[in-house]
Amino acid sequence: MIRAYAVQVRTVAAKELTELFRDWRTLVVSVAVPLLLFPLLVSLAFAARDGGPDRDATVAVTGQDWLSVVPFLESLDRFTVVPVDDFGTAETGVSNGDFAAALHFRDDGTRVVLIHNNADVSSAEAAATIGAALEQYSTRLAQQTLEERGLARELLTPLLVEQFPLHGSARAAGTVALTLLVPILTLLAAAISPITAAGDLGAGEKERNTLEPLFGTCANRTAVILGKFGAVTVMAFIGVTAFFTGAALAYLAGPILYEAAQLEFALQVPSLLLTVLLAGLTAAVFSAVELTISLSARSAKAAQALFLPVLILASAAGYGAVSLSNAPGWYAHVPLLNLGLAIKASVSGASFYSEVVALWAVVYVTVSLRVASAVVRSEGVLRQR
Amino acid sequence: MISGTPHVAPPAAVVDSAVITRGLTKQYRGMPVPALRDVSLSVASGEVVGLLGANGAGKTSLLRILAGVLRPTKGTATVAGLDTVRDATAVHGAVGALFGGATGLYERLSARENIHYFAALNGVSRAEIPRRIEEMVELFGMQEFADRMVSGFSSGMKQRTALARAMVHRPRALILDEPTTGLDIAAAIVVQEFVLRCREEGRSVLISSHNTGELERVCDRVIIVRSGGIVFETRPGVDIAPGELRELYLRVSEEGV
Repeated sequence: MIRAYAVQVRTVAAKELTELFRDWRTLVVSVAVPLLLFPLLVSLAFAARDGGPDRDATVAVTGQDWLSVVPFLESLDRFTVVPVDDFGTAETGVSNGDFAAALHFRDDGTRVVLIHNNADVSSAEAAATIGAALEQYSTRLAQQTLEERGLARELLTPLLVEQFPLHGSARAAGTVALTLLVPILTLLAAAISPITAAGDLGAGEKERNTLEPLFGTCANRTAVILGKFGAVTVMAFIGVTAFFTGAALAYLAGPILYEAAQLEFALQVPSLLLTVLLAGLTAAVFSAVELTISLSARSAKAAQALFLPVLILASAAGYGAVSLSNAPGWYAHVPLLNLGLAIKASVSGASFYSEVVALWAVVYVTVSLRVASAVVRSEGVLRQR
Repeated sequence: MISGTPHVAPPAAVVDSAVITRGLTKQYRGMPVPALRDVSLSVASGEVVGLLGANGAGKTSLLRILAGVLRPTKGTATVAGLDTVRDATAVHGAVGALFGGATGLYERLSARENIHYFAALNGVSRAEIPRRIEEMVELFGMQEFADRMVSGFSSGMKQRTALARAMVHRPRALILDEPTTGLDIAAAIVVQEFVLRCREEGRSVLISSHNTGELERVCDRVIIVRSGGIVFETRPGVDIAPGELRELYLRVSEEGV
């Protein structure tokens, strides 16, 4: 009996996967897009940065006694300094975008007004950089003055702070990057990847009138659901893997193509395995939920509309997980957020009630599939056409 | 004059019938009137019975209940001695069903793969499946397209594939819901000859159609269904002469019985 049931599950899953792999649209959405998304996004981001206004930006100077500052600004290798007649010309130039920012010197060059367009990102960035540089310049002038008067330059820094980081900057950046990116990416990828397959195997089958002959066979309807769930979950695993492979390719290509900073990842094998397990469970949860939604929907179009709240919830859970620090224990019982928090903890080498969260994931899958099973046992599933 | 008899429920002890229904009623939720009302009929082994009626008369609901995919609201139905509700899974194995104009084939599978899938789900052993598929391919003359994807098939090719799929597990009864709708003459003849062959093999066949000529050609009995109930039945070639079924149907529909 159990063997016959298992054969039915396997038969349905194998048939569904065969059909899915023969559908180029499913392959594009589930494999090609996730694989190429991050490399494309990174390429666009770096292309925008290379051509961006913050590099080689033009800065206008006007007013009194600014000559000594110009060589300092030009030594930063990021700004081209252009003298203008007066404050009004500088202000108009910044407003028009001719200048990233402008400096108006007054009181014999001892005061400077930094004119920038705070509604424009590149102007604001340029102003921040110039402001920091001028503070540095100002400190240097003060130190020179102290030395000329025979005073110790340390007077300017009565309390000297020394940093003692536990990790190197590359490793710290790597860990931060993992805890920021992996929970969101896992939840989103796990929510997005099964959509096409779930839509096709549920509402799509209804539209194509293939459910009725299927339910007219000797196959147990729950076995049919389990077979479909297996196929959708496989597609979800493939999609999540493709998303992370794309992200890894984008990261690896970064230093080669764009002189991007190298990060150091110190994920230990047990943490990696736990992360993979949690990601797999997350994919299974979304596969079960989306298949159930698809089977309950009247049409493929209705199913697509119903998938939207799932994606929103996945995004919210992902962002919630990365923005929460020191989450209380009862968050381990909050659906989806618990998966995000557990994944976040596992990539940083810690643990957030992983056993409880894994158990919850199994519960979500079981409940979803029971609902799906009830849906296909009702006559409505055949009449909703 | 109307030839035939107003329908009378079969006697309680019909032992030779492969299909028996008693007081079958189907009320869909949210619908004002029942789709079926107190339908009792029997179909003997090796008998071909046609269902004739307007759209919405209840033909498809009756066939779906007999195929075990819908539950009756009241009454009972048995196929090959199996109750369609209690023994639904066994009924699925005893019935080969073809529903509606759409054949419900998987378009990204070949004809052979479609048949294989249904054979496996209907419990045909792994070793037996290839032989059964070859048998079906030969029976329905599918040699030229058996390995092609269904998405490129004509209506006739699809219908032959669907029939092969419905027959691969050697069912005792066949339920065909408008099997020739949308087919050209040649394809329709293939279906009709297949039905006659089933009769020769001793299978019971219930077939619904709007084509009175087709029903006259293949059916031992034709049952006229109206508003969810059986209102009349006749035997082509016995009660009525060839070509009279259409006129009979129209008169029954107008006059009521």
